Amino acid sequence: MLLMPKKVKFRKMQKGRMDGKAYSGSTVSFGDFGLKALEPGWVSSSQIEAARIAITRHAKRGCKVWIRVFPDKPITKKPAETRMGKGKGAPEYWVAVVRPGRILYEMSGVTEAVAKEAMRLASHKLPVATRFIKRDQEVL
Amino acid sequence: MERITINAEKREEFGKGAARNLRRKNMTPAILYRGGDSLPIKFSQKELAQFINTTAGEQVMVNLQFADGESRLALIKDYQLDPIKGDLLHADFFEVSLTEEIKVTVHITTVGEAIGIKRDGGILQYLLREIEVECLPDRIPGHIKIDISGLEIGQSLHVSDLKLEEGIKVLTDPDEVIVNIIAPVVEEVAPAEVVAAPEVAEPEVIKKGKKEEVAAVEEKEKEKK
Repeated sequence: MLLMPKKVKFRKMQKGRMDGKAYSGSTVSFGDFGLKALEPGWVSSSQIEAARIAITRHAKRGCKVWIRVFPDKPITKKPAETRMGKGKGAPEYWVAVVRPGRILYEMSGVTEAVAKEAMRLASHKLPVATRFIKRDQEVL
Repeated sequence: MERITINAEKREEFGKGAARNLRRKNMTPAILYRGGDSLPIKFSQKELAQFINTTAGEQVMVNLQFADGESRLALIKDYQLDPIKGDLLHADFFEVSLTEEIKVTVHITTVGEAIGIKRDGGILQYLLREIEVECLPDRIPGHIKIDISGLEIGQSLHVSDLKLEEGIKVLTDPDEVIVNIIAPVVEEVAPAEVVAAPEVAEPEVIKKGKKEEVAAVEEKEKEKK
């Protein structure tokens, strides 16, 4: 089931900016392992779901997964072969605005090797560069 | 309780620019405080990072040794990291007195493998990774060990199950669950057709105050007619 808000105040949204780093949501809070975004981008609800499926399928059973991003931004699109103007297009899909440093997924209940491979498979479904991280990782 | 000595220097320059200059010189800005007073200090980045990595979340008392021979006892309260590079940006130290009781958070670590995980393939779920205790600085436990080997699926351990030394008062609610074992969740593979064409329905739009506006416009239109 694709993620999207149940209720919204406005149907359409402006583009916005993705400057800066994600200071909130940048540490592993629930699980033991996480996948961290290294660059900014829009992650759509279908990409979030595809990556989640990749993680749960690889880990099979005995794992718990947390999704740390939620697609709450509607993206509109004009129909094909339409002239410019005549107002903004219709909402097409939903995205989560991801800034560098944001934790996208967390998991627990599996070994580090399984988690690393599951996150590697998930990262291929995402439009941003990512890094596998552990809870209480070394300070540089 | 274990004590580690770190060399510290008093800091005269403050603010964003000065902090960045310090980081460029491989130093980390920090603060030492107690009550309402605070003292800006700085450390060698390498030395402080090494201290944080060796303690790994454990509460360890630090002996801050200054160049003028002064030394102060402190606990590390918090530290900030760069969200991408993982560089140490800043650290907070809390000065302690050996005669005054203080409130600190202590990490909980599990010992053993639960029956529910080993035999039934359950998942260990942490609901609480640290608890708040009140005690004298010398009696602060590095971490609290909790034995989970007897836990089966559906069972849990609470704060009240912790066995602590005398003189350590637990401030966290005793009914709070620390860990539990949950049943494994098996992902059901959805039929290919459903996955191939997901329909995106539009969410409900909250119309706050819109009804009144619409009604007013409608009334005006009627009057015109």
